[in-house]
Amino acid sequence: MSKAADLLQGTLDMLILKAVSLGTTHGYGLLLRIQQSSGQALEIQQGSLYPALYRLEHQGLIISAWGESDNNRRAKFYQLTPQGKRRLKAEQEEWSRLVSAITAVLTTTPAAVRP
Amino acid sequence: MIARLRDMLRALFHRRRFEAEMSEEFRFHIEQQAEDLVRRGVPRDEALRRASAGFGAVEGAKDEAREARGIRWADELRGDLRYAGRTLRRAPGFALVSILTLALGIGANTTIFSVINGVLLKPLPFPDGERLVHIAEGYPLGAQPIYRAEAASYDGVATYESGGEVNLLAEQRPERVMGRSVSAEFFSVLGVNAELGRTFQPGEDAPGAAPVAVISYGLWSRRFGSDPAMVGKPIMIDGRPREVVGVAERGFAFPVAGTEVWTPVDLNAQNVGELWGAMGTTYFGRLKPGVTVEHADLEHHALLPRIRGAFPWRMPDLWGTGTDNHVRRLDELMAAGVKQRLGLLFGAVGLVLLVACANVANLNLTRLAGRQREILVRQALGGSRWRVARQLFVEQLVLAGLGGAAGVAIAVVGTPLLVAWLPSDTPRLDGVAIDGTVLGFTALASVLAGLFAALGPMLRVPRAEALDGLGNRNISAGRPVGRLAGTLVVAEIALAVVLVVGAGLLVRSLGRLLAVDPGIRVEQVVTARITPDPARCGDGDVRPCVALYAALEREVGAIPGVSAVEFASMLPLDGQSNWYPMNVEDHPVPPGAPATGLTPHVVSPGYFALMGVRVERGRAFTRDDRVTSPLVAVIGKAAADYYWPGTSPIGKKIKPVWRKEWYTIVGVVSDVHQAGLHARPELDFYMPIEQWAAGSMTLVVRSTRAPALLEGELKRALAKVDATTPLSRVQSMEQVVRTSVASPRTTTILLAGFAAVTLLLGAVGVYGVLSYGVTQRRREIGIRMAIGAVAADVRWIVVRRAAVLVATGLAIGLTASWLGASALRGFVFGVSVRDGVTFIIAPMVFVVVGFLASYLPARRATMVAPREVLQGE
Repeated sequence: MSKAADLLQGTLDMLILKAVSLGTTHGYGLLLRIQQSSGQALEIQQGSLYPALYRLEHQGLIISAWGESDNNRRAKFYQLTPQGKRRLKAEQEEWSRLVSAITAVLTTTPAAVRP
Repeated sequence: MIARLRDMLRALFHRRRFEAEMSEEFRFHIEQQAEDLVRRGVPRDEALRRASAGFGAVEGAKDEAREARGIRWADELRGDLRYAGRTLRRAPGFALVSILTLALGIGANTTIFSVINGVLLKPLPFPDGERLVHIAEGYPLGAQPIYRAEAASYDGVATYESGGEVNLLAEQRPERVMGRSVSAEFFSVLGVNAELGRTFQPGEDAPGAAPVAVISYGLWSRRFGSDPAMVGKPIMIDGRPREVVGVAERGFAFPVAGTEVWTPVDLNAQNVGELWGAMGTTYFGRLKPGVTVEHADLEHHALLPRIRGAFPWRMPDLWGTGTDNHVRRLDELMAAGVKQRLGLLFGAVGLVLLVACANVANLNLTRLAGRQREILVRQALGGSRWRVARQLFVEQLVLAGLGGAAGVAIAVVGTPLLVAWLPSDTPRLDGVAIDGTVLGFTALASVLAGLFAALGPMLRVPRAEALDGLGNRNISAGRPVGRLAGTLVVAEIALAVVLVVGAGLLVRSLGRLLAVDPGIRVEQVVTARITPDPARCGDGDVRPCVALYAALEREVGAIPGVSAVEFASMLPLDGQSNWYPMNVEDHPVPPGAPATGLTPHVVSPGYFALMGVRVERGRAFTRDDRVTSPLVAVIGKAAADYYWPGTSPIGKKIKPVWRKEWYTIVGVVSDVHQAGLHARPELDFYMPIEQWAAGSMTLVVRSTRAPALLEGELKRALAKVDATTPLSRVQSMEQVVRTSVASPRTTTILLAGFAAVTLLLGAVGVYGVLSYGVTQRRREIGIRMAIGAVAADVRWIVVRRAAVLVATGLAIGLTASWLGASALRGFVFGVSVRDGVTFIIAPMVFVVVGFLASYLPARRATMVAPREVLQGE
């Protein structure tokens, strides 16, 4: 497993949900979407993407349907369910809380902890 | 949760589509990415390669995707199953023995459970059967109008009379069939309809109603060829013409199995004797929805003074206040008589299955020891211990599944045999079948058996740390396996001891029961019921009866091989009972107190001599005790001792309360067991055949011929005397006695059978462990022999192990039996549940069995060739 995937262990699902929430698209499209919006900083392995997608679908957070891609090929498209929307919101909030907590710790000056 | 399950099931059942779609999706991804790369100037081949590489191993990704879908376990299970099939095919002996052992245990359990299910668990075969309640029995028929008018708990109350047989005369052929006199609500309260025609209508039991009858589906097809024009046909029942108004639903038989004719009772108020004197009516009802049994019972007791007051004579104040007089659910009442017995058998058969499982677990352990290498290799190749343990479990489940299937086959054959063999008075036997509930039970039992049999071995999967075992040919992980196997065998023996002790107690008890002197001579006595229609004989006038039986005596006496012909109103031990309230000289009953009573018999003069009943005082009846001569009676010894202890009852007077004339006691005879070998002799009161018009009588003949051979000739003899009177229940007195102990006998035989099976399984278990021990200790034995041990020493090694196992099992088993013995209290007769003889003989059986089981392994141990073993190292 790559380093990026390690980093993303807990957050991959959230990223995918977010990517799906931006608009219905297929797996490859999701991959590109995450890479682009992260400014190429996050590179997700296909090997992690699909199991995650299947897992999310199994959990009922996204649903899939077969359709036509831009170049008229049959492709499987993913879409967020209401349950997925709620989950994404919850995870985003959780993430923000975590980030601000960590930020708060990292920006603490020595003066602040002196009794 | 539901959605996930659905998703998983869809993936499982549309497996091919799932796989195809997954491949297609991945292919799309790779091609799309390759196109993008091409667009950026990468050569097509290189682009495709790079895109594919991005997926890593496609199969790995697929596997993860499958797992995400929650279906990987199914793949693994399939793998396990395939693997289990392969290993079991490689060890057919092991597989066969395991399957047979489990099949025996599961089959026996399924068979017993199917009976329990049919007799105890299934709802009654009537709509809303749980609302049907038994209200009272031994009540006067005259109380019916009170229940109709005043009992508010019920949608309806119906009755049936005691006395379950009637004479059926149709198409000039007399036959004795099971029949009931019932109230008009009988069918409607039960919720039973007619297959043809109708059931009874309200008012059909009123005085002057047209005489009608409903017949059973079975009688309709057996006797009338399923005649579609049956309704409206006339038949004769007990000498009275009746019109058949309907055929009851197929399979309907109530109150007892085999009932074939129902006729309405006659609620004629003029008939005081039948309405208030007979006291043979059973009341049952259908509770209104929402009314509890407790509420109905309160009401039932509130009605008691009303009913007591309605009698035309003063009843004892205590009448009806007994604790057994209460409202009960009908299904509970029907099950009550057999619940304990079936429970005992179910417990016993459960022990059999436990022992069978322990045996299979043992086989597994032994085999596991031989599979160490394979298992270590599997772990070396990356299989976790858990995976190996699961593999063992799946193997065991496969065995248990096959065992369960074979067990069902055993039950399919065994259940009808068991049903046919059980005492015929067992209630609801017709409802016994191998249905969904039974199969569900079998499936559950099989899975549990598999789990149990696999549990021990699963805990003993060797650790991969013992990996050096791969290089070493002689892995010595056998020790803990041996200890667990020993524990299992000890458990097996302990369980077998419990069953053997239980069976031993019942066998001893049955022996005691059969050793009870019934008070009669049973050899070479053949009996048959003669039941003339009441109009022919029995309606109070003695003369026609006397003529009938005198003529029959002449005809039967002429049959070759018959040396004596007598008659009795009641046969000892055949399940009939009767009781008359009596006036006894010297014993006046104060008004309001319960009547004193005796068991009445009507017998012909030579009956006592034929049956071997001894005259202890005075005289027996003679041919001179006639209609016209003074009334005389003979009483039993118990009655004499009860009423006139220490003095002679000869010359004392006695009579049924409603008769005017007194009977003078002329003799005392020895006691006879009437109600059962286990029961104390009753207070008997005999009257001569010519002085009491007993309608039906039992013909008792002394003959060296078998009942079956005599039956035809007896029937012909009766037909010559009277063509309308049926002759039924031809049986030898030996058969009568045997039938009277049918229920303890079947229980004993079944329990003994289960004990024998567990004993055998226990012996096999001991043999297996010893045998395995010899294999494990070949080297040790070889060395011992090399340094001078002789055959006897080697045998001792094996026998000592056997002795330890058996002794430990015995100690545990005997202690458990001793402590749990009181469970058998209701089943034994004449022996203590802690019977010394049983508790001494049972261990001896196990010592012998232990010795036998150790014989072969011990012999094999002496045949170890020291040189071979040592050179083999």
